[in-house]
Amino acid sequence: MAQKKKSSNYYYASQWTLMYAKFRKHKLAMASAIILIIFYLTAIFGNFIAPQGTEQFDSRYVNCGPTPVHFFHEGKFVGPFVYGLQKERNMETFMYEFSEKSDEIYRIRFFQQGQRGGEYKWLGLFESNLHLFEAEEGGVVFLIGTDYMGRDLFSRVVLGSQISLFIPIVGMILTVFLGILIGSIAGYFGGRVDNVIQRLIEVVRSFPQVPLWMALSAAIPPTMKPAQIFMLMTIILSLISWPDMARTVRSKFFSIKKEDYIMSARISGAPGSAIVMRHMIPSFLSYIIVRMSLTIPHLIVGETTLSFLGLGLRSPATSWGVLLQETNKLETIMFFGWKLLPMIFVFITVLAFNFLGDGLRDAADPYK
Amino acid sequence: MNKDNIVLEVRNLTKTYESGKTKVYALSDVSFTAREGETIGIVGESGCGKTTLGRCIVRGIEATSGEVILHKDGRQIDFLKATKSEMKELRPDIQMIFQDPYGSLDPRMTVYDIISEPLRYFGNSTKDEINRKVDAITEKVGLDKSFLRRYPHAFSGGQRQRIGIAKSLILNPKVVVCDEAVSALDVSIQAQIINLLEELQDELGLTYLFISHALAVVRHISDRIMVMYLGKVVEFGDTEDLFKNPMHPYTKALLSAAPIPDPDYKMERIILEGEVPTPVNPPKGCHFHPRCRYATEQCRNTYPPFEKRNGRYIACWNSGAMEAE
Amino acid sequence: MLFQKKNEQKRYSLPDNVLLKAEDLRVNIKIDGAVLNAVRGIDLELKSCETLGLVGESGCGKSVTSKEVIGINPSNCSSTGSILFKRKDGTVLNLLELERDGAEYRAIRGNEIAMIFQEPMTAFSPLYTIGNQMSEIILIHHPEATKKDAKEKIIEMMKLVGIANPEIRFDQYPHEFSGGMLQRALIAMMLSNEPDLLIADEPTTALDVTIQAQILDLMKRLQSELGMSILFITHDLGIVASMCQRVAVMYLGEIVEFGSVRQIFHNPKHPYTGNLLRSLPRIDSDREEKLYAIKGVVPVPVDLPEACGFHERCEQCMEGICDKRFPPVIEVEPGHFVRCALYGKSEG
Repeated sequence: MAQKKKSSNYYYASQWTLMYAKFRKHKLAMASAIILIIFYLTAIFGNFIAPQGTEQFDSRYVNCGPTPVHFFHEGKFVGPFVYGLQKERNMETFMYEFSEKSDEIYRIRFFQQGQRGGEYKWLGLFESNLHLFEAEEGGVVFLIGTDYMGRDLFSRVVLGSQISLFIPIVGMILTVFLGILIGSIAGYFGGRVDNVIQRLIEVVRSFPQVPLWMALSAAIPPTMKPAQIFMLMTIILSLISWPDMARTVRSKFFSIKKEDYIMSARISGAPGSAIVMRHMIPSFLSYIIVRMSLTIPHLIVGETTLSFLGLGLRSPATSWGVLLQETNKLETIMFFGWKLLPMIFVFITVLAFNFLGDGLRDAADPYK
Repeated sequence: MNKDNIVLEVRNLTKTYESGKTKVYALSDVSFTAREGETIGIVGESGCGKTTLGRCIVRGIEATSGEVILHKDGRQIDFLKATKSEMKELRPDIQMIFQDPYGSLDPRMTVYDIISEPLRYFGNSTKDEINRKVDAITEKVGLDKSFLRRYPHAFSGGQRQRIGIAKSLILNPKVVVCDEAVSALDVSIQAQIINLLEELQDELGLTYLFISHALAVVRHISDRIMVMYLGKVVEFGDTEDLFKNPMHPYTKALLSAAPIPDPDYKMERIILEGEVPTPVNPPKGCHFHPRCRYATEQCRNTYPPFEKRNGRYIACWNSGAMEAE
Repeated sequence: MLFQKKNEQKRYSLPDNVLLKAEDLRVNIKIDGAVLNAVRGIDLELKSCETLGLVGESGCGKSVTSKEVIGINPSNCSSTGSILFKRKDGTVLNLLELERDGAEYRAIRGNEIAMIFQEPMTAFSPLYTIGNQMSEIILIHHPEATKKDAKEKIIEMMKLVGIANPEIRFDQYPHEFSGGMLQRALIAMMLSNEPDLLIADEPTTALDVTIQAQILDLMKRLQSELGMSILFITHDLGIVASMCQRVAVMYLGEIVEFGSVRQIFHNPKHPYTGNLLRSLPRIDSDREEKLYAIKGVVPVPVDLPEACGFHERCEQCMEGICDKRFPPVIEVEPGHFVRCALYGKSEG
């Protein structure tokens, strides 16, 4: 009976229900989706989650390593706390090093009106000074250390993700728009129009990407506001990445044009617009979603690369690429290994998007 | 219904494709008339143009030249040159049933949406009218009403073909082109669908153009049969007559090649030499001459005229000689 | 372990004129968590030099059965029962006990059991010449043969199957062949090691009628010249009537009727066989008013009840019998077996 019920649901299942059922079976993709949701929520609530703002620094704690969070002091449970830090000069390298003072305990408090962390306007609407966590007066907590100006790296990763995770979405939308528009034109009209667009795609694709980015970025005047720079970077990235999407759309158009149900619609008297809107676009919408999920990591890496090369954003504006900019010196990596930690976030995000795309691709054709 | 009423006249229908400098005749100069309520079987092997013929008639693809004349209320209108407003009136009259019941239904639409789709584009029916029409046609093709909310993937080949038939008939067509409509189905289901098509024909007075490579099915369902070879009609006549006494050597070979489900059936099988040539580079003269055992010099040089002989149309120089044999 | 296996293999034996015998063969296919009972306990016997037709509608398990014999079912299939096969040297093996990709099975496949498919176009790679691909099967099974030997043999085989200009054709690519010619080439390749058993899985379904007639004619001739057994899988009863000596009719994973081609066509006993024959439009008789149509559809072979698979569609279904248990296999006349509760009632 249970079997019967299940199968009758299957009969009534629309394409999207079937796709979701199939997607859920892809464990890796499901996990990736959850990770990405967490990352995006973190970015949205970034000012609240980050203990510090982008512009706050503390010259006392320059190049400080991660401060471990402890729970037990001399065998006794006290809840999450950090030890006080002692700053000493290492006489071999002549650099300051931090060590824990085991007699100073600073508890970590949650949902505090920030003292170290500044005020912020959440989503640009609500003014607030509420922060997720902070050490007690006198103590500091740097989950993944600080940079050369004494800024909390964790805060910068979180705040940087607002740019690094959302710019690619804007870029993706632009890419998809251009791709569908140009691809559909090529696919629908075919013939000479298609030929011209195909050649254009080949020309755009044959540019070496990184130098082109660099050239275009160099054209952005450095006097511009960060927000404007983001916008321009996005447009630059999209202008280079639409051809793949256009190709997919075009080839889908061609293959679907040959399907019997398109012929059937035509014989039923459907006008061209109805054929495109009712039959063709829905039939490759799932593929477009797959392509979208694979375009985002491409753009994330693009943004990171540009900023890393110093061609995108510059401090104090923060993105993941800007954070990695500091690691382009060998001694940074040698002495301050934690400064590579932001890379892990880039890595996880890109990987998660790729797995997600993989799962979506498997699910995209539920009839096979 | 009057079996003498002509409903459809096809005149010199031709479809060419151009690739570079060569012109490929997928269909060349096909003419025939179809009467109300009759079934014309169109047989031939792959590449003979039977599918192209069907699609050109329904304007699924545009013919290069020729006319498809619909006889409607005493008027004669060329379907291929119909204006937009004329199309609005004529489109419902010529419909098509497809071969592949898996490919011809949009998998993203419910059965209800599929069947009612043609009504969206014609005759501003109200929602109630649409519902009524859909209910009536689903019952007629033997589908359960509870199926309407389901998606095509829930159905077997036979049921899908019933859905396809319902969609084709909902506009009350006069002429239905059945393009290999039962070829993809299993024997036991095939019989169900053939019977259904025949019942619907009797009830609604439909004219079928039944395209198929399955000779036994065509023999069963058709009143007249048209045999095609390489884009041209080689023989056209009454079914019984044609099967009992095929005149064109190709028809003879084709009929003799069909396997008979009887182990004791002894029939001299004519095994044709060689392959079916492609329309890209058809042989000079009669297209069939390289495989024909009766071929003469005349056959090699000029294509025979399509003439009426003994109550049948045939394109062969030698059919007279063969009869004597 | 190895020793034991050898001992086990020795136990099997087959009568002199029997090449292949399947007993209680069952194949289950796992798909998306469900288990399809594709083959549900069939017994099959193939004699030397005969053509046995395995006929049925799509999904009846005929293809799965044939692939089980040659051991190429995908890994989500599991099988029980036995398939005994007599090798060229006279030893009898249970094919189900062999390792799928083991040396022994590989030595049999393509050498003693060969197979031709429905789509000859996909059986050849477009990247290599026909001759190159055809020679491979010889070089694999006869490591001592040189390329020149292989070429000679293939050209001889191409002549045998009626490919004109074999020397030129040898160096051509698959796209230069028509469908019918490719099927000839495939047959030539598969027969080049002179296998005892040829499995033909719908070999002419993708071909035109006149080409189909050529290929069937060719297969008949080759069988009488080379003396192999053919397991002919098809849905076309017409082909069965003209090609086979004996016929097994399959429905829903069971063999419902088994007998000589005359017994099956002239004296069908199982309601399914009889009705199937009645539902065929005939080219050789006058136009009937209406075709007989078997009601209903073939059920999906998942969680089938222990009952005759045809009972839901059968007009002679006996309530309480057909829907309650598997009918036994009854020999209604010598060599004619039926799996139907209508027969052998006197015994029970």
